[in-house]
Amino acid sequence: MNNPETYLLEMNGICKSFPGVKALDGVDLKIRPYSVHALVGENGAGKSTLMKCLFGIYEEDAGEVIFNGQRVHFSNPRQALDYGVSMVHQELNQVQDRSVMENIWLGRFPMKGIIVDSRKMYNDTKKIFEDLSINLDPEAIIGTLSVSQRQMVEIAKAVSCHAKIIVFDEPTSSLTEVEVRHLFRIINKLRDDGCGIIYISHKLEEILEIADEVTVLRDGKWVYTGKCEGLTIDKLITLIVGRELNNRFPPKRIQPSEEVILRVENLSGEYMPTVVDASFELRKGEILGVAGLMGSRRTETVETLFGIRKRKGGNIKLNDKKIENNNARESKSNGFALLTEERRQTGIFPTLDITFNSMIANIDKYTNKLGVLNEKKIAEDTKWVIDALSVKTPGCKAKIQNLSGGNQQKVIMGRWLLTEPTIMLLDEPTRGVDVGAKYDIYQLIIECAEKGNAIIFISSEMPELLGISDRIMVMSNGRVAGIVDAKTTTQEELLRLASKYL
Amino acid sequence: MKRLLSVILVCVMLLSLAACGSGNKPGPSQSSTPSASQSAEPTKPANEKKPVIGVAIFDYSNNYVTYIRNSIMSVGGDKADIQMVDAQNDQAKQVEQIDILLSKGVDVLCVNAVDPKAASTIISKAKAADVPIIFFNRSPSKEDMLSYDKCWYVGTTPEDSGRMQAEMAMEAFKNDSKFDKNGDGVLQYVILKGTLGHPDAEARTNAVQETFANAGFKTELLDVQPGDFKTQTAKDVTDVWMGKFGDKIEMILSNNDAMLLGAIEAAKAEGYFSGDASKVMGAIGINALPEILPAIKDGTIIGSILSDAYSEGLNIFTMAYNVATGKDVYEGVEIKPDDMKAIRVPYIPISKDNVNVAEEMYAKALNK
Amino acid sequence: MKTFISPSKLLKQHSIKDVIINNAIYIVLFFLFLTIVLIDPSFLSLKNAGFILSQSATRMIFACAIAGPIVLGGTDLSAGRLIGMAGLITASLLQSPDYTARVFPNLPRLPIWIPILLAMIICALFSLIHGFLVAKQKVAPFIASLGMQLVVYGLMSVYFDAVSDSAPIGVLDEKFTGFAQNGITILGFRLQYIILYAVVVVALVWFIWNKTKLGKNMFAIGGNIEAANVSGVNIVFNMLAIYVMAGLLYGFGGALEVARTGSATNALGQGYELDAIAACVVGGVSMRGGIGTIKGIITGVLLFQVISYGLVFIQVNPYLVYFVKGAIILIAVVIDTKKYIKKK
Repeated sequence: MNNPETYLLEMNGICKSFPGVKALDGVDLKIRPYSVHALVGENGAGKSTLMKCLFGIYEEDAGEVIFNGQRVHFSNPRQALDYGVSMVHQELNQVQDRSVMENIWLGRFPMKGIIVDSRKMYNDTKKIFEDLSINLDPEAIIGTLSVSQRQMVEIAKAVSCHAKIIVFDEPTSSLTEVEVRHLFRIINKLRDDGCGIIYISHKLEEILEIADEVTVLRDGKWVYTGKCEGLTIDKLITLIVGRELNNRFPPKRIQPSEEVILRVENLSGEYMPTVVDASFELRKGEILGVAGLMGSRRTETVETLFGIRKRKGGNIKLNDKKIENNNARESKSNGFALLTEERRQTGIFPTLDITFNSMIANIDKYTNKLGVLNEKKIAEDTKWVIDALSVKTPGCKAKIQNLSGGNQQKVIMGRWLLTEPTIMLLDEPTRGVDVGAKYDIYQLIIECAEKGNAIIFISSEMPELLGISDRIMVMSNGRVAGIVDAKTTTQEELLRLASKYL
Repeated sequence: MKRLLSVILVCVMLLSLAACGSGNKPGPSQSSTPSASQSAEPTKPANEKKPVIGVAIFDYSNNYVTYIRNSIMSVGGDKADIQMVDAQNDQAKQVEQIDILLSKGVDVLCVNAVDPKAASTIISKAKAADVPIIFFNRSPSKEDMLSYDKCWYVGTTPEDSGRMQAEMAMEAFKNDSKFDKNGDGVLQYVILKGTLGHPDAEARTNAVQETFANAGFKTELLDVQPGDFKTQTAKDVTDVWMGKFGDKIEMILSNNDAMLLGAIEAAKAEGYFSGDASKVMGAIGINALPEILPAIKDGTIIGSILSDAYSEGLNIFTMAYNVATGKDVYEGVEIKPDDMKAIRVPYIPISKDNVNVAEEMYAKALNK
Repeated sequence: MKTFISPSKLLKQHSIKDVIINNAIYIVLFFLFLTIVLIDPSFLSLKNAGFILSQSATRMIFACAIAGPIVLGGTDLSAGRLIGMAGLITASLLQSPDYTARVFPNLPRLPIWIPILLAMIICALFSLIHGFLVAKQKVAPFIASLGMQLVVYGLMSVYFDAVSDSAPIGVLDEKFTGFAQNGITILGFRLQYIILYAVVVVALVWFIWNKTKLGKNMFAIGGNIEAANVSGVNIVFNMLAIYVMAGLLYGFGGALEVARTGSATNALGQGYELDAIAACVVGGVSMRGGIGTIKGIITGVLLFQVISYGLVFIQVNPYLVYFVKGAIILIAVVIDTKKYIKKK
């Protein structure tokens, strides 16, 4: 049965329609044991829908699922888990205030009569952690762990169910380089144990590194399945986008001037973990990339600068004039804009429409003295956001929660562009965004810089940092470890700086 | 700064509370909770030993009981140390309060039970402490009353108010032909009932219908709807009646005056009760509240049935004082007790001719 | 074997199902309405429509008021008691000058706007405190409003006891009752002024919700408070403004309520907040915050009023009225949740 030539899981001819949309149209996906199978495609290509059909969250309209040679139909994720089909989610659904082991065994606690057998639970957890070389205390509270550690817990949970198929949905989107290495070691181990792994990601470098096979979806249709050997990133991009994308990064035509627009001196935050004693300057027309490991407090730095975290000390000088930026309103009026890292938590207003999501930060400009809004101006600006950022949406009345992640991100970019900021703080603006949309966002960032504004650009993806930044500031443990020229630096130098204060 | 602000806020609110509560009135403001009176006790002159009377009220916000408690205070406030507590319509709370009163050593307990079924619990507590007990307003069962020799009841016969209301309706209908609007000799009427399942509401509503039946009086009951004893609910219900029956209604009989006030307001919008001779509708309430007296006086409504809160309060205090000072319990009580040791204070029908009786009663109850 | 279903047929099936889910509450209510009319066809009259509208008037004001805190993601359990307090204050200051047993015998006859304004200001003050606790002190709205409910009830009861010995305050100035109850009759349809006030208030609230910065900020805070903060919305100020607006409306509505019914006790307003919240929920205001329309709220109020009026009209067992209302609320909440889950 574990013959590598037979398939562990087959999904054949899956179709799924929603009102007005054909989300999946005869999609095939075949997973072999002892292999990692990458599933790629732009946002909205149907990857998530396909997985939801597999786990019974959606009922497919047509098609069949064959697992271990048997026709199966899961009616919910729990049932799938019982069969050994498991998923490590992009957004981790865990009980924040309970321990690691309770989260792993939730719903199937080992019992001794009517009492939960904590000792067995602890030992079993410990054993799984040892097998996977995860260094975690089973009794640690989930909420105190890092994203990477929580992901490890999810993997351990899958292993504890003897999962044969494990789906990883964007597993590295919140991980640092070091953590990604660790994850890959675990994935490789799972593969060697005979698991079939479905690996969903937008990061093509990773896919070529970890995956054995790849399936490409585009617009709800199956496009390609094949071995990863011999594939190149460019070829993969062509398959995903359906056209050739000659450059992954748009060209930057104008160089930043020498004129310093923002000077930050000894910036420190009040409540730990936070930025410590950071000093840097930003020039007109410049894109300053910010690199660092997870927990290097890049987010805290820009949030302190923007005033939504309390500042303890340090000066901020805009055009040599001291400013305070005590809260978001003040920063906004000083010409700052912040695109936050957590799009869902602090970016979108999910239940409200595109219009609302576009205009909210700029609301003062639409308001007359009586607080009444100018709807015509709002409609015009919303149209600009949709057109200029090529947001894919049925219209300006669509709720933003119904758009794909990349399009949501574009709307929020548009929201801040409407305030005509001089300093843009972008915190992971391309996370979870597909290749095509990424290019659009790079273009916007560069255009914005070319107009003489300055941009701070946080990213965990080395290629894009090197691709569009002028200079790169590396942070380590809340401090500035160094600022280097993006043209001359190397990934090795950045990594060395990133671990300077650890 | 934030903290300071909130502290100031709380202080202001407490101050305003205290200011409101310290108005010098004979009523509940002088009454004290057990805990409060403990601290107040040392300030009293200790030369004369006053009997201590514990009074447990079922709900301070009940209008009629408020008159009773005011009467008790105005009659006996000087002669005895009256400790009054409010159960806020919660029987469990009342039992705890009675425990506290007993442990403080009251000479006698006056109890307005939240739930008359709980009387046996209260009696056994009083019995154990050998404290006499006088129930009032809400009657325990005969069995419970007879289970303890030092236990009496002061109240009314709820059916009487309904009976008197029906009698008043019959008299008005017979004497004044304008109420028989369709001239068929049958009284078309509606009843505004109190809260469903409330003993008074059930007793009054049934008594009205029985009295009509026993008298062989021809009636047609158009509808009975609960108005929860509240003005607002009654107004909404009467709106519906105006829409459904309109001029068919010859008389509205309400379980209490608060509801009748709402009914009048609703009917007024249709032209009734506003002096228009062509728009006739009879209305009779129960309680004879001060607010309804002007309407009785000027003939807008037929009348109401006065519950004599003052006499109830007077009898409660007299009996309590008697047992506390070792006298015969019925000394000075004019009404004869019935077979369950209950003193039944009669209702008084109030119509245009005797509004002054009600006015005098309120003056006495409030000691004005 | 699964039979193949053509996509177009699928689409159609989905949309019918969606239509049913999205309008289930209206469908249920329509059938109730139909039942009422079938049992007693005389229910369909302009006179009844006039009564239903005038009974809905204050309830619309209350629902529009309480919807603000709900859209902000909270709730306001103190609403009913504030309404009652406003009613008590206006009633005590606006008794008929001819009535000898007034609670303030020496009070001159006031123009009616003075007590109404006073009631509005007092309610706004209490709502301001409530808003302050929620917005600035981050007290959970449920608890804060529960506390406020008791505080307000205590204060109003003390006032009630002090001024009128806990007897209902009635015999109001006819100018005042007329302010709400008078009106014009057109072809048997009686348009009481109180309906006009409600229309004005609803229009005003609609305008604030849809056309002003305050309204947009309210939805932003309710939809995602963190994102609103990052976007530079002044959270505390806007929340306070919404709470104060609610307070002003409780005050105005409470005064109208007492003018409508002609008397007040400290029991006035008890449970009104629950009726208002129920109407909001039935009208599609999400208890999670960030979602709601004035149109929905008004529909909710009207439907509730049609049902409660109609059930009395056809003389069903009064206990059954509770059952029907409860069932409607539950259906509405289930549908609300269904819509939410679908969007995930």
